[in-house]
Amino acid sequence: MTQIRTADLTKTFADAGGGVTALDALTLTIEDGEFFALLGPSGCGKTTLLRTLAGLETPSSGAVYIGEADMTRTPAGKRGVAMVFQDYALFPHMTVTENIAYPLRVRGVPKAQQREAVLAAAADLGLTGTDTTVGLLDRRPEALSGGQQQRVALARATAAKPSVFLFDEPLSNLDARLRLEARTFLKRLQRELAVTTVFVTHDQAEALALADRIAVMQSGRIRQLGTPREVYRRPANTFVASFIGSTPMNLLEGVVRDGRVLVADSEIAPPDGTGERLAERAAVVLGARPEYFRVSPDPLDGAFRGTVEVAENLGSSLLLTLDVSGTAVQVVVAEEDEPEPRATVWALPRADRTLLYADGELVG
Amino acid sequence: MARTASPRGTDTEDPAGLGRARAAAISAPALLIIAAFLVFPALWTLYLGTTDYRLTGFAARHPRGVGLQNYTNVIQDPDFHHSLWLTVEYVLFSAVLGQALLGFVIAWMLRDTRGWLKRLIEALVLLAWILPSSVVAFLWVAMLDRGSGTLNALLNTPGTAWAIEHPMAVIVVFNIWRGTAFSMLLYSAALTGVPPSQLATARMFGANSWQQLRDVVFPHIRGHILTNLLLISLWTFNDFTPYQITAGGPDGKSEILPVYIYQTALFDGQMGLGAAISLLMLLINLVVALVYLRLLRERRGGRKPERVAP
Repeated sequence: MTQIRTADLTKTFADAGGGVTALDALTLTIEDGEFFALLGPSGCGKTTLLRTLAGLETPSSGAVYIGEADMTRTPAGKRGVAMVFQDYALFPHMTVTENIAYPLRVRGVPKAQQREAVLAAAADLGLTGTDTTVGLLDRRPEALSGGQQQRVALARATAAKPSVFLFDEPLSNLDARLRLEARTFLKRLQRELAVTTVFVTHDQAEALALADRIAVMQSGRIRQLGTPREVYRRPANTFVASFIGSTPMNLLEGVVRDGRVLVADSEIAPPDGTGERLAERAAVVLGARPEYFRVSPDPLDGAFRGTVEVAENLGSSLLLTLDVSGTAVQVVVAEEDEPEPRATVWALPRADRTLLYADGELVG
Repeated sequence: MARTASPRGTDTEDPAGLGRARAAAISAPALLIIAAFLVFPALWTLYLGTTDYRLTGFAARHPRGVGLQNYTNVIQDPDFHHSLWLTVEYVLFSAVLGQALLGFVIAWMLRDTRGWLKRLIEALVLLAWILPSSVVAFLWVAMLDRGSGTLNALLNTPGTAWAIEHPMAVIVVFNIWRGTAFSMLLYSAALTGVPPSQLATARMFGANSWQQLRDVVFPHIRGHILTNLLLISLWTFNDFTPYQITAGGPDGKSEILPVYIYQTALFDGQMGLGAAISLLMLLINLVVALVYLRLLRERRGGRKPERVAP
């Protein structure tokens, strides 16, 4: 049972200008066996948090618990934690076998046992040969493809039999096609091993696809913590709303009047369930994902009326940028519904998917 | 009308477009200087080694060819053996063990240090390296002086004549002090090339400092280590600065080869013999260089990967 817990974890880096706070009193619990994502833009503190869990950074204050034990001051090698780095960090002068055996060699495990463990780990990760493929065990890392290098790094980490895995940007060194394949592989591996796993990514799609829960970070704080569904459906603030989603959410400034939202010269129905408790507000932000619009060439009640400015082909769908009285609104339509350039269309946001923010926080 | 190709040949043969005659004219002065001050003296030394040429006396006016007599004399000379042995000791202790080891230790300890401490240590170490040898030799003579030397004052050992009682130790320590800066700078640069993720990986698997050095650092900087050892071995082998501190003495106890040649050729005036020893020294240097280069090449050849498509 390995739960990870941080309590008021703070890390400040000394700097010429006084200091940079990478982690700001961060309290977080990661459950046993969970696949957990730390997501955020660069400089948000996600890598610092991962390195602090690993023991590669010492926190300025606060505590780290792994399992039951306080590991805040425990050296990296004694935490039972294995980390896979973005560049995989394979030792270039060692063969695949020697690389996988390394954690055991350092611990002084007998040679025969090392060999056994290497074969087991290599088989788990598809590195041993089959009837049709050649085994990779005697090669050096430079003779391997990126995907193979990653699997060797994973095999080395599993050979150490850690109670926690830490992955730093596990997919970003792979090319786009391989990345999807590796993503599926990684998720299956984590399910099979059932080891608590924390990974860092700047790619929201990766976090949504892999993680059981996501912590979206900004400036050393967690802005939202939740399952991929929660984070995607109901972003807690405009920062998360703009960060999650491969096509960014429309965040449109407006006002509330008579139970309707006035935005871009249009009267939009408020999000479902807010109805009566919607107070008159001077300034709100309406959030609507481009995917959650009904687009029609004919007038619709309570919809945005705009002209098509740009149409971007996304394959099975199209991303339209509409000009609605000077405000840009993006909507996604199916491939067969492509409108003429400069056509006038009506875009109706789905009331069960629209969100309302005031002062940057979700209000409805 | 437009001619793209040079009339005197293709662009690859004559990239400057000068033509053979003008190119030769331009490089001639430099070649002349090299010939006059490098090639000629080298050949002249080779010739002198086969004569009984002396600085003074009858043989200075009419040197006679003596064939390989000088070489056989040198090889049988116990003073030469003694001097060669001192030189090997000097190179081993001051360069290979002293400079290279100390330089690495300083570079390793300072690898994560930033700011004024690193700059201060680097400045101090570099200072020893960039000062002219006559100046540092004088500083050391003053420091080791029997009567009013700094070292005797510091250790409270009045009247100890360090350069006389421990001449080899003095020049070994001197050369370590002098040359460590080079190794330190070279290793510092090499250490920045060691991927931090590999060091961190070794650390996370519980590797101690020695295992991290053995498994991650040394394999990465092996080429730098060999290049550094080659350079400092040759420099130390040919180093004449100790003469300015101990003058090879007392009684030849610190008479390393360059000093021995100087004493033989210019002090005793036996130019022919000195030239012969010089050539032997050159040969030893060559052998040392070849051994190191061989080691370097072995590494490159040995690591040649079999390229396999993914």
